[in-house]
Amino acid sequence: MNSKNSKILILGGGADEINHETEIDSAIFQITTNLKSAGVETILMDNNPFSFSLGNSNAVDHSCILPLTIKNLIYVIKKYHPTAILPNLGGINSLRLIEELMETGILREMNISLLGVPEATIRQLNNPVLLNQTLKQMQAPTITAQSVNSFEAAVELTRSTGFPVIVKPVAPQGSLTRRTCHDTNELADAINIALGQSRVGQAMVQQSIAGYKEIEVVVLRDRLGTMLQVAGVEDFDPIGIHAGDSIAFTPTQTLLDREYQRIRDVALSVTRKLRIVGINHVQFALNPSNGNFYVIKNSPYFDRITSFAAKATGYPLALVCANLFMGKVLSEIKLPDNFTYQSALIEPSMDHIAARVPIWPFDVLPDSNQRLGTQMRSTGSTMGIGRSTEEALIKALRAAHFHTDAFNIAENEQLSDDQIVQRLIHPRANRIILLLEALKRGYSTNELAELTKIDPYYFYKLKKLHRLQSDVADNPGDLVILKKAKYYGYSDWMISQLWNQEEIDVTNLRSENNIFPVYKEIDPSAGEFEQHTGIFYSTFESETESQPSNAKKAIVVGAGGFRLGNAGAADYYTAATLQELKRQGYETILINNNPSAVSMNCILADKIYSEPIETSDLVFLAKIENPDVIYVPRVRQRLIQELDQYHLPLKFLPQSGKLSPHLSNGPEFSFTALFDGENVWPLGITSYLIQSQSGFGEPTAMVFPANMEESDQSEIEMQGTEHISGQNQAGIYQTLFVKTNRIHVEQTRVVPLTEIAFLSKALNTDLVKIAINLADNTLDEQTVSQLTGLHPDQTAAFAATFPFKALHLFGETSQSTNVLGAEMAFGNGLTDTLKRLNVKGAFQFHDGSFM
Amino acid sequence: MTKRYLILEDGSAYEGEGFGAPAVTTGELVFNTSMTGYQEIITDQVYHNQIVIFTQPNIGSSGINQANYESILPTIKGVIVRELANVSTNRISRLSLDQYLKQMNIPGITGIDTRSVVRKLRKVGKTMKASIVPVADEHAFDQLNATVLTNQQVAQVSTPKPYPNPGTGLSVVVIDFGLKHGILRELGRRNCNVTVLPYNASAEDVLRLDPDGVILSTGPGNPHDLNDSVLEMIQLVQTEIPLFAIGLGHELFAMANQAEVSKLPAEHHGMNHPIKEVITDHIIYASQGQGFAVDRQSVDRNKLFVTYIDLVNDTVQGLRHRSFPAFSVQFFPDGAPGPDETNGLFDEFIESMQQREV
Repeated sequence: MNSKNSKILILGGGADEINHETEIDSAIFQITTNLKSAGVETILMDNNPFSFSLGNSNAVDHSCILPLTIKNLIYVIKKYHPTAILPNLGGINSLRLIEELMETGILREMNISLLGVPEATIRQLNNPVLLNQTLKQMQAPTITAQSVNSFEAAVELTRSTGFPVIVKPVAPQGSLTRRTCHDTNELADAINIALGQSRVGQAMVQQSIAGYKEIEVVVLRDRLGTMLQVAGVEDFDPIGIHAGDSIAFTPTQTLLDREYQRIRDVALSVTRKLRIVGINHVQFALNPSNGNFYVIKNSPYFDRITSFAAKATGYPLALVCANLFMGKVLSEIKLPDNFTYQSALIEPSMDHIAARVPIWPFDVLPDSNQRLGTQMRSTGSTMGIGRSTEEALIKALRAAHFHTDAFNIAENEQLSDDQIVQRLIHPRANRIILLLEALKRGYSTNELAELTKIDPYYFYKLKKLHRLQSDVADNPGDLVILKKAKYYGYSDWMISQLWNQEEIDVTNLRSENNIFPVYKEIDPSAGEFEQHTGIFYSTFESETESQPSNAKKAIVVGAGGFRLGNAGAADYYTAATLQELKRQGYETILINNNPSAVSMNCILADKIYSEPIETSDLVFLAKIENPDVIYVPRVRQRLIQELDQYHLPLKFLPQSGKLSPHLSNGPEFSFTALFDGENVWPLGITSYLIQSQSGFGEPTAMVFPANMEESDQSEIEMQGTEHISGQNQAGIYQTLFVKTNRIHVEQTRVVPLTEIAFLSKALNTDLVKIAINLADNTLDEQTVSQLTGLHPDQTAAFAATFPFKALHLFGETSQSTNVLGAEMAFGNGLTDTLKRLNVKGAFQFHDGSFM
Repeated sequence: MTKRYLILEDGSAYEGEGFGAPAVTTGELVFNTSMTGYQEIITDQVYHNQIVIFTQPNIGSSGINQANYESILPTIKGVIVRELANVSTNRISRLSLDQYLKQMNIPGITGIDTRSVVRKLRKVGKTMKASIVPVADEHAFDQLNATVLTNQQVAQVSTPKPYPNPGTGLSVVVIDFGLKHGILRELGRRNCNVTVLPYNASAEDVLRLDPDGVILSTGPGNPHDLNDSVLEMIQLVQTEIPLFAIGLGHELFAMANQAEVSKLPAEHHGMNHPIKEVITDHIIYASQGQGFAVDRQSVDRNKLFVTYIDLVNDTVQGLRHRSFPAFSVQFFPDGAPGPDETNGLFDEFIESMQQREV
């Protein structure tokens, strides 16, 4: 590290959105932890109450809980005087903010350097025209798009682009028609219309890449220009469906070496040209009929694909990037001691396959348009790892659909052939299940490939899966088939459904015949060296590599893929639990399948099982690891029920709040307190707010501490203390109150996830740790007295965010089951705090008093 | 599919399902960690006498296509994979891997725990003999142990007589010690007028054609198994015309200049090792397939200098002669499969030929 990188400011990602979830916070946590341990002073500015990094003193020296605005950014810079800023960890929003900052001149004035992405590159990334110019200059293949003023010019252009092309007016007056043309006749019409609509008499003709294959490449570059490729990812769905909504595989499944190498060359040269230091994610469109390909996007930050690539390959991407940001070069960076070959320079080679399956929010929001297109609609994803494409895919699907029937084809069975064709052409969420149905009805690979533009290879694989499914269904109790089903990733539960048996019967049959999973380690050298990443996946082969220790250990069951309803808070809780268990000396073992999860990293978990989480996945794992405790999220009720018969040392992680029906209408409050089994220590009173269009149910906005009359306050404290002292077990509880003309008690409950995350930040403490310590009876009096003696001089406010705008939904209710992310802010008193929280004017609140 | 076994000289047997030809074969067991390019690997004659395990589990997904052969008659002894994707209706091919291996009489096994075999090979730290057999009985192991693999690999794969690959540019003689098509492809791209000569061509045979330069090709096998006359040929030719040696050619070039070549404890086949260009400290990645390496200590600094080093195992990956326009690389600069980053070495070779012309 040189002095110019001694104090680094990082911008967070803000509230989780459709386009980014916890992967940003995950990257920030890992990078700041590595920076801090190298002696760098780290400053993080963010307003995401579910951020695990923000306020985490293991990772960040100065946490600034502020909305991400230019004003706040300048305030933070002037307060902390960073020597450098990492502009790209917070994703594209962060790059835009930094460009604004560049324009103020403050960077030069205060001699602050930008790490990772130089100024000129930031401008290009924020401006597609500039970026396209650069790509053209360096002769990288890009999509042809040109404005024309006549039909003849358009025809001339199509000589080089071929058909189809997309035609739209330049600077349209009023309405805009966008047409895809497949021949010159259609082109003539479209040009005619577009020229008529344009104020300047010009039409934009753009080469259409719909139906092309999408390939994504992740590369690393150091300041001296050394580069390597971390992974290549192939999307299952063609272009036309947003990459985030596509099933994806790594390594690439159908590329020829020469295609792969040419794409790699371009990815490396684009990264070189943009002088990026650290990570870069380049997306390509590949024309399957002739192998021509085009650069379509360049993202030099941690996103869903980079986190997928890191988890799938086992390459310690964040650690290496942290070092690159500090100015080290790849040849100097040493991987951790569990790698025998410790150079960061080896390109990962995989001897397993990873599949990524998106999770859509349509079960919660059935009114949204479920067709998939160029706008991303999924909220998160799961990862499945296996030793075949089938196994990886099935495991990812199982992880994504644990709450429903993974292969519930009943709905699809009822579709008419016409409907099937319609849905094949106009894809909807979870199309893969429909594809299986189409195969069952006898559609040929060629027909399906033609209708869907999905590579025939995948139909070859889906056909195998379809045959397997019928084989299983037709042969109940058959051991050869059972083995085969397990080999390709089936859970006991799936088999039991097809056999009309209980899950336990399948599990027992398997145990009696010694059909057990083995656990292989993810190893970026594909077995060439002894590389230990501590990340394992199950498969049904001969050799197991996971060697359980005799240490005191805890298994924590992760929250899985990111879905609506406070997933960020659940992952925060999982991560904080791992952190505390590790501090207590447990060997921490995580089972999870969300590549973007903060919890899913080797700083927090000594061992990670990258697995779906059904009963059969967990039970054998628990048997071989033999942990002292297993933490299961309370929300996994079926799993908990099933686990009951195995007599495991279960403990539960809290869930999102579920309010019982209100007894009366009026402002709501909660009184939160620690309870050790005897004594109650109050933490304070939260005031709940109602967001516009909220329905009854769990509040999605709140303020702490509540501003209320002293008499009400003491009434609430007294009643709350009484109710909480009546609980059976130690923990953090809250009693809910409604105020009308008097104070009514509503209920007493374990503090829900959201509020734990919020109150931890409001009180600047780690309530997850305290909850665990209370339950273990290891909480010391000193912590308690410090905490309960707190009288925060500032008010904190919290408001959940929803996906309605991104999904083009209107009139939906803002309720906790729809929550996507959240924002928070501090201020002086209620009005000021809410003003600070609501810098973008997106929120509307009231306190319920008129109801 | 029928059961077929991979049996190893240490007595272990792995059951899988057979594909390709139902032949019984024996060879050295090596693994390749490349994630793309199985067709190129299978057809690369470097694997003469060898059974290859692919660490990438999914093999066959793009079938076999006419543009990616690295030899006309592959001499690989067998193909071991975790999961055969027997696809033929691909966008670029008509032939599936299974069909191709049947045509070429090469056996394959799918459904093997390839990772556990690779881990075993790594732990043993030396190449092992292995057979692909229908029944893993005592007889099969006896056969395996009794089999002596040929050391006449180069003679077996090399062309028996010269043939041309005409072009309009510089004239290049390629000595066929086992010739990866990638070399011909790269020379063709640069319009070279190529004549391929058998491995036992003498310096006179080469110089009689008055070429602008000579390439020593990739091989299979042990450079010590070749007759000393090959080294004499190199010693003479390098003083007369630009020389570019690749793979086995590189090992022979080193030996012709008194450097020593020894067997590596474990063969390396893959494309992900960082290789350092010594002069610039630049890191490149290239396709590698080697069982032997030039001993760095033995390089006579008055004759040769080291140009490339593999940073993983510290092996010499490139040499250059101090007095003559002759250079060599251990890796395959034609890629196929593998990164194109070292493709420019062919341009360098062309330039050295052009300089000579002036």
